[in-house]
Amino acid sequence: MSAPTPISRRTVLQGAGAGALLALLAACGSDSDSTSTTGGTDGTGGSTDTTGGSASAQEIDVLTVAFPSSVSNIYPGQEAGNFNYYIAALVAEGLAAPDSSGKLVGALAESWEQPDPTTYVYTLRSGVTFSDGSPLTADDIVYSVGLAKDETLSPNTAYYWANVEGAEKTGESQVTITLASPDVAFEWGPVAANAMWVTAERFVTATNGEIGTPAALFTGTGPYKVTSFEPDKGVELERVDTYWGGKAPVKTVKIEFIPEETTRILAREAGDIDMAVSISLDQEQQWADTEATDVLFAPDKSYVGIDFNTAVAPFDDIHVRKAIALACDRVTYVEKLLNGHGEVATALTVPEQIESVVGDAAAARATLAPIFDLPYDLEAAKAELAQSSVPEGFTTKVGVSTSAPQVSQFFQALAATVAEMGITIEVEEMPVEQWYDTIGSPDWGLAYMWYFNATGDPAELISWFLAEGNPASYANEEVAALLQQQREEADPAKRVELIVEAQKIAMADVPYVPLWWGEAATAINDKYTIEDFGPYTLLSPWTVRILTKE
Amino acid sequence: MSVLARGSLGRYVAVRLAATLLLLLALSFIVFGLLHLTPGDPARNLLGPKNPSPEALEAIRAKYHLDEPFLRQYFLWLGNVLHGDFGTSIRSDVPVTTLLAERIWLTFQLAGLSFAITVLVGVPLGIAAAWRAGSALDRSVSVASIVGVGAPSYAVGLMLLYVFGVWLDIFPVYGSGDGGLDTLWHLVLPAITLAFGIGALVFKLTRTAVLGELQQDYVAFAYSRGLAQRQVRGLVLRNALIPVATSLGLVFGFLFGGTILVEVTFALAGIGNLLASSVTFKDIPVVQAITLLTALVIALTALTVDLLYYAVDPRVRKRGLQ
Repeated sequence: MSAPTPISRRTVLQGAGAGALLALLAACGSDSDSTSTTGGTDGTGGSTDTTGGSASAQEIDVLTVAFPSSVSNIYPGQEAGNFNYYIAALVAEGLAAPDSSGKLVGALAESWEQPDPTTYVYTLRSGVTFSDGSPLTADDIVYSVGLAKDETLSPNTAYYWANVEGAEKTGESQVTITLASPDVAFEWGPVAANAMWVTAERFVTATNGEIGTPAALFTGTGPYKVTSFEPDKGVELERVDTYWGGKAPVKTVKIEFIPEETTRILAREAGDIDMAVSISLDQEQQWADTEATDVLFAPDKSYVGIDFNTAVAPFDDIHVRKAIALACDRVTYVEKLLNGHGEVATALTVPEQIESVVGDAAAARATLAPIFDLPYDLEAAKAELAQSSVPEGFTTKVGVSTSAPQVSQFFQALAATVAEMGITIEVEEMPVEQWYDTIGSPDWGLAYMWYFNATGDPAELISWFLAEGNPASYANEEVAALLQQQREEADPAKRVELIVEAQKIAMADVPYVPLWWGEAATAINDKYTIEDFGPYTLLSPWTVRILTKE
Repeated sequence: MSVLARGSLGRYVAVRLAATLLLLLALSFIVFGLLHLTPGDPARNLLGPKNPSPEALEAIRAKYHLDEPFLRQYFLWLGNVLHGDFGTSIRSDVPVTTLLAERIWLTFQLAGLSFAITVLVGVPLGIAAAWRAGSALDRSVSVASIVGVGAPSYAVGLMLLYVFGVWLDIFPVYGSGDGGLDTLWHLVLPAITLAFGIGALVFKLTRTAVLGELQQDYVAFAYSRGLAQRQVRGLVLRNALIPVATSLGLVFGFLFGGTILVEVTFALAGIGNLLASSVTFKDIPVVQAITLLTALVIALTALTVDLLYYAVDPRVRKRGLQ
């Protein structure tokens, strides 16, 4: 989906003194106490127990939510950061949407069927209106497919629709989408959490073809309409009382962009904001110590791992790759670098993407566990290096985004570990945009990926990481055949088997080292809570789930 | 003012304006070139860390002429600018002029308020400290000014936020409010933060200038002629404040171009905040417009100051501006 919370500007400011300063200030304050509770996670993913008692949906006049960075366009087809998605989720919808377990259920489509592997027939929900009161029609869906497929208007989603031949109105409330070749992952295309936000042509024409800009805004069928948008300032949304899904409890949502984390904490301390999404794990304790504030954790479907460019020496040597993989003490990293907010990754697929197929969180982890299970073993690492083309060691560099402090700490820890094997790793910190350039670049044999899965499709990341043009320059015919097979496998359970098999074969060659699956933390005024807060919450109309505690 | 002096003044202004234009032209080329040389690809930045489709990358590059050779890109940009078109932001797909128009007023207000605080606090304190050189007041303000110059502005900002925004709950913590007086109210803490370091410098400058003037022979002479202290001080101030007044022009330029950290700390949607995100994104049209605008403001204030110099200092009027 997008950048790991693009907070490079904030981290520029985070001198070593910032945290200490705040701690000092907090100590001076008379009204700071630490009675607030930190919501714990059950450690196995899924949703977090966030309700301290009973809570119910009550009318909330204004909910002020602080995002850690601005968006410059509210249409994710134009700019696809996490925060663009969180805003768009309140305004517009797709044909289907994930439920809290990640299973796709009807949104603007009441139901859909697949008469043959390349044809999807969607039956539209009746009585749906746009926020201006006009009814949604099948023509609007056809237009929106074209919009999502357009490379200039929607550069961020066009790739998802490349295999789509077209959409056609096949009934008053029926739309048929035809694929060029079978791909069961397509079901996740017309979903607002991923690659489609339904609007109408007249809204786009009325704004001279501009979409999502402060002047044009964006009009959809969601529970809110945007009333103002100023980049670097905020977005204001007003409830749409005619929303087909019922009236949301929050009347006005004010989203404020506050790039400096300490300012955000102080804004909460002063009671100016009710909620803060994607809080910095570095300052987790300060958030927890803030008065009348709860911190909620939930898996965010993110994957963090090492990429080796297998076309670049010395990483073209499997012994080198294995040596580094064996030197990764992943259990300790999760415990120390993430304060336990995350878990050791064993695959490119995240557990939340197969939970609804294999049954539950535990089964999902058990299914993915055998894919990559090289435990930390320094002696074995040395033995591998001794067999390699560079038995005495080598020097390499890695580029790390300033928005990923935990990754930087990880590479520094790894560098310290492998130093005694004669391997020198130089960690270069850089703005997130420069990091993009390191992905798959021959100049960076050692790199990493921090990927936020947008969908609940278990093949999302492997469709890039194991397919042609992957950042590891990895090629394996057997894997390619399995990838093709899973695209056509209609039985979800069998498809998961194929996806697991493909990863098992590929990961034996260690083109990647999965490190951890991450969690996102949200801070919220302790008089509220979020019902069933989980990995899909912020990608669906999340303000609908804000409950007021009794 | 004689006819001759007026003629030479007109020529002087014309030459200065022409030099400013040349400076802007050179600057635009340098900034364009530097951005071009920094690693990163705006098209890739727009798509983020995911499997970029070659078609989408190509479409974005074509739309913003990123696929053209460097010099051609520059001249395309320059040609458009000469026709008043500053281009479209790659990041937000909004015309650069619209983007700047929304923000420049806020940064102007912030710099203006900060300037007022700098002058109203720095200059009187500097004068008072010089009158009573060596006194407790002089020593304590001098020490404080060293702290002021040294303190990083974001630390000062957070300190002020905690004390006045949270603890005493007088000022708002972030944002720019709803316009008018509310916005000015929101800008008080950011303006003080911004004024902190430069205000300390203005204080030191004023103190030094007044002290220097107090040691001049004419001061002793004036006292010996029996002038009252108030009259002597009037004389001293007139002379001492000329260098101070002219340096204030540079102070405004410095404040206007130096709002980045403060805007980020206080979540203000000004041009500093925009510049910070645009540079790393390689949003070339936006960075170009902001650097040129900032350079223009600095050049014009410098020119205004020189003209002011001309107006207040009879010696300069006589000698003519060089």
